[in-house]
Amino acid sequence: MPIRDLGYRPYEGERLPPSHNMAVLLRHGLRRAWGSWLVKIAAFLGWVPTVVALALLGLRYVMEQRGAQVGALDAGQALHTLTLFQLWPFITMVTLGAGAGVISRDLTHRAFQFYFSKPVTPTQYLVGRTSAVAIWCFFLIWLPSLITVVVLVGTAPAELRLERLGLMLPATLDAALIAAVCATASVGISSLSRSRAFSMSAWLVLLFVPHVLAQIVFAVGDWPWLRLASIPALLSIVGEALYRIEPDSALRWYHALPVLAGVMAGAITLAMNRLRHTQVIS
Amino acid sequence: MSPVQKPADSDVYVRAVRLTKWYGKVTALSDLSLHLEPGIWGLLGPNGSGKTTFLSLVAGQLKPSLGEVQVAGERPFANPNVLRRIGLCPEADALYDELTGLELVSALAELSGYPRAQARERAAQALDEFGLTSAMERKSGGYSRGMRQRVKLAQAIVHDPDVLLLDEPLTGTDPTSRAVILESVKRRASEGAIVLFSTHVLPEIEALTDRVLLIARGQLVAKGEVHEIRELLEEHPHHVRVECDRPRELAAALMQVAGIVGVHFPGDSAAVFQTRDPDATYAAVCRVAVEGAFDVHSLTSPDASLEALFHYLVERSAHMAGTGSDAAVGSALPSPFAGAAKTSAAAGESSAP
Repeated sequence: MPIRDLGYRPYEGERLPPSHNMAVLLRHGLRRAWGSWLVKIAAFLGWVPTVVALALLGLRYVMEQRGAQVGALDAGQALHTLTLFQLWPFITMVTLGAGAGVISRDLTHRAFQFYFSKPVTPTQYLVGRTSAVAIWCFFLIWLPSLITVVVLVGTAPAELRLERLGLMLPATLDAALIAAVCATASVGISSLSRSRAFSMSAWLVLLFVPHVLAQIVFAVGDWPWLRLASIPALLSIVGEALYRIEPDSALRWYHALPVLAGVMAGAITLAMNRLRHTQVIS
Repeated sequence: MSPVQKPADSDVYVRAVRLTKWYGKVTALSDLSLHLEPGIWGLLGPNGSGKTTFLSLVAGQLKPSLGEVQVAGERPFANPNVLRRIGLCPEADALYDELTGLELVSALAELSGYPRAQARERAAQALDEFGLTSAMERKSGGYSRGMRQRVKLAQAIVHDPDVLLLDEPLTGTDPTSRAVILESVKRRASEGAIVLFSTHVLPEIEALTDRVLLIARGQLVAKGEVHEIRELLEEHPHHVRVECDRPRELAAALMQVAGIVGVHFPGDSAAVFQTRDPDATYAAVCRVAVEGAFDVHSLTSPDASLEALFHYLVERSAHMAGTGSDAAVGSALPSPFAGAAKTSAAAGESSAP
């Protein structure tokens, strides 16, 4: 049957500008991320540390109410610890499932022949893809922090409530920094190869190997500077500064931030270079 | 964000000037020049001849190594203005298995600038056009090869492109689907689009259009209407096959006819004449058959078909490759820029990927 008989008419309405593409790719990326079982596991199990933290806070509150002697609570330290519990297992899982294989997967699926035959630029593609991973990471850290802050405020004496409410700012900044760095670096790594196995392995190596080495060197020789090669350690150092926690070494946030900026810049350059030079060959 | 209107259709054309593409040491396309106007163009060539490379260059997915390609006056590579006017159905069987056909085509329609609701509506219409109404909500991982092919076609047309590039679009499709696809292609061409249709199924391209581009060994071997290309190949005589009761007597009577340069007898009841003037030969066969009271069973031209032309031109290209005669042949014939009715013939010495 001719299509016109089915009611088809050429579209003569408005068409949105190409900048709209980033939002489309972001939405598509969020859905694709949810398709990863690693992301699903992280989204469900990611609440476990929060539940444990809330239980401990509740227990502490009950003990205080009953007149038991408990030490002063360092709310900043508690939030920072919770963030680290989120970062190590769950952000690793999200970046592994949704970030570290994203470009290599599109390469192996030959998806670029669809994307780049539409008016999609490499920049839009990269921003859309990275934002999707970053949003997953951000909420996986920020939401638990938000709930914990609410409980901390609710269980605090009146004179401490405003101070504890103020922790939302460092919590938000910390979540944003972790999300931006981990999403950008993992997506950048994913452009290294058409092989998802390779890019995901490379991301795991980048996360864990320098960190383990740095911790060993610091423990044995009390030399903290190898931590500059560890992304989680750098994020932790900046997090400590945000929560005003006394650092355990000579490394400060102003050492860590430039390195993290360099990691992000390098990852973006790597991915853009790959995308700009990608010529789709069917 | 201010909305933008779809550009007018009137300025659509595809133009290639000395277009060359190589991958490392392998030359996929060499020195190709042409100008295509709206209508259906059959893109023919053997495997590895450079058809897909040419389509990818027009689609802006490859950057030319030398020369340039333009669509409506602009280079397509990384150019959103041009890309939203192009629809590409790639050859490779590549879909996201976890997405439904509707989700994939909707997302790609949105990337062409349609608001979400319109994109979904158009995607549903496009899938409906190719007979995927009942399957569009299913995940494409469960689609047959023909269904996947139709999803690729739907995403290629979902944004009403002015230039539709179809790389082997009939692969894996059943006869009913083929008829639907060909109908859609014809309709779009009649509405002013340029359709470049790459295929190995020659009878179907013959039914679709008589305008062809033939690429062999990375070079444009011929461009134009089939019969015009055929007429240009004067050094290759036409064959006229006559099946009758006394073929040798018929041959003896016809050997004096101007244009006939040879005859052979594939059996006891047939004669095949080689002629440089097929019209005069047909007339002479009829006249002699009547005068001599021959019992003629059939009168055919076995090499008038596209398939015969295809094989002949490809063989000719292979024969002439590297002989040094390429340039002479190419320059002696009309320029491909002279328009759709003009034809060209050339042979290349570059190797295909």
